[in-house]
Amino acid sequence: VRAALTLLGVLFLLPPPAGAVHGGVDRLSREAAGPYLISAWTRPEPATTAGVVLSVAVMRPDGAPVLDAIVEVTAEPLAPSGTVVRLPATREASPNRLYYAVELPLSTVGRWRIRVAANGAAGAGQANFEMSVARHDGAGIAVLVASAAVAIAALGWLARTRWGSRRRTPA
Amino acid sequence: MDPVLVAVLSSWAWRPDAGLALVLLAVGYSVGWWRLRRRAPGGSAASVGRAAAYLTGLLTVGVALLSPLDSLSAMLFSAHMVQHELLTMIAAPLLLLGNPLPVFLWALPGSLRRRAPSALARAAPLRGVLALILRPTVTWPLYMVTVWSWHFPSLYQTALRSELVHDLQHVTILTVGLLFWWPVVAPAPRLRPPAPYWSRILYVLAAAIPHMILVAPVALLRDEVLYPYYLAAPRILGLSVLRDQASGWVLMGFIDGLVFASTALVLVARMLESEERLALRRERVALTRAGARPHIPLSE
Repeated sequence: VRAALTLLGVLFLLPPPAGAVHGGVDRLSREAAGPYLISAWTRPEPATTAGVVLSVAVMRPDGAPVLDAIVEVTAEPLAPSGTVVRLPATREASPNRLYYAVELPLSTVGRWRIRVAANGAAGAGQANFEMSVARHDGAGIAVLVASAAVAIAALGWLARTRWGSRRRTPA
Repeated sequence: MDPVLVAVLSSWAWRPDAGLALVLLAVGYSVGWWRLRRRAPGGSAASVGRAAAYLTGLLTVGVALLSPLDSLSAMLFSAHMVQHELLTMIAAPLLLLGNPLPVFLWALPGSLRRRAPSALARAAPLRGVLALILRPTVTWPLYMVTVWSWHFPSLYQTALRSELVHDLQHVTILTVGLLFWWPVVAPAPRLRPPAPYWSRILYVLAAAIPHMILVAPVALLRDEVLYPYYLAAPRILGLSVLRDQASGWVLMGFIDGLVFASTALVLVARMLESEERLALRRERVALTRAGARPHIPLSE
């Protein structure tokens, strides 16, 4: 039973796969990009140096999804230090197969400009947005684990106290 | 086949945490059910119907959270409402109809199984907590407030933007769904005698009315996008954002109405059955007292 509970706990803490089904924070909302409209979402929020998952939807002007485009993402740090990252976003990398996704290794803290370029049968277009990237320090997980430990300890203490007082009370 | 449809149908949300938890629950229930059935072959605690209800409930949770419906719910409000309805209106009552507690007890090793019921002994704190939160006066408002709060635009959009908040949304609505259906289905542990049928019927109908009152005006909004997050998503199935929004509310009202009404009908049938049984028993007692030989079979 202990093993099963531990397994459940571990499963609960497992992160969802890269390129989540739900887009995350909307960065571009139907931005005109040549013959296309482009929407883009990033996660996690806040974006950190641990990596940013970018999901992209390429659409026709009527909003219908374009599934045969070649999507390339360029991430450029606005500070002088840092390296430009250029990667393809693919539908295979996204659990939602109407989107294109890519995991961007944004290693430098600060502002980044992200350029999304789509190339397809109707032509080519691109759209940009800027975002901030914070340092990844693992504090989120530490806070989560600490909160869970405090909650379990508090519940245990409460149960013990109530149980003890009930047992002491004569029937 | 339409490539958009193919893309939608291949958008499975592989979540190892949710998927494996569902498998673990299915295996645990099956082991307990098998042991209980071997022990008491004709018993109602491990009937085929109960197992079918529980496993269908788990399957419904799987369809809601892991199937392409989850991907669709990021693009269509109506798909998201179907997902929520599957969790609260279908999966929750089915899981409770499986009467899981005694079955899971039988999945435990012998020593633990013998000790576990003490957690629900008269003075045990868990019993006090359960008795409090399973009161209809608690479960009903808790369900209403939780489900409706999640549909406030700011909270709803936060859930769409954050995977963690979205998971929390699904966990809470499934939990309050289970709590809501608890007094209706009355599974173990039965900490107090089950509520009479008439009060269960009122409880269900009372839940249907605010849903109808709230859903109708929101569904009729024709020019206000409540959840602008969906404006960024591709349009599929020929639905505009406003049309999708209206369809979502209508679907929600329709499914709620259907489930609440059919539950009320089942409860009315059960109430009539039980009253008939009671009348027959009274008649038999009266006949026996009068010295007449009852012509009513003893095992009706």
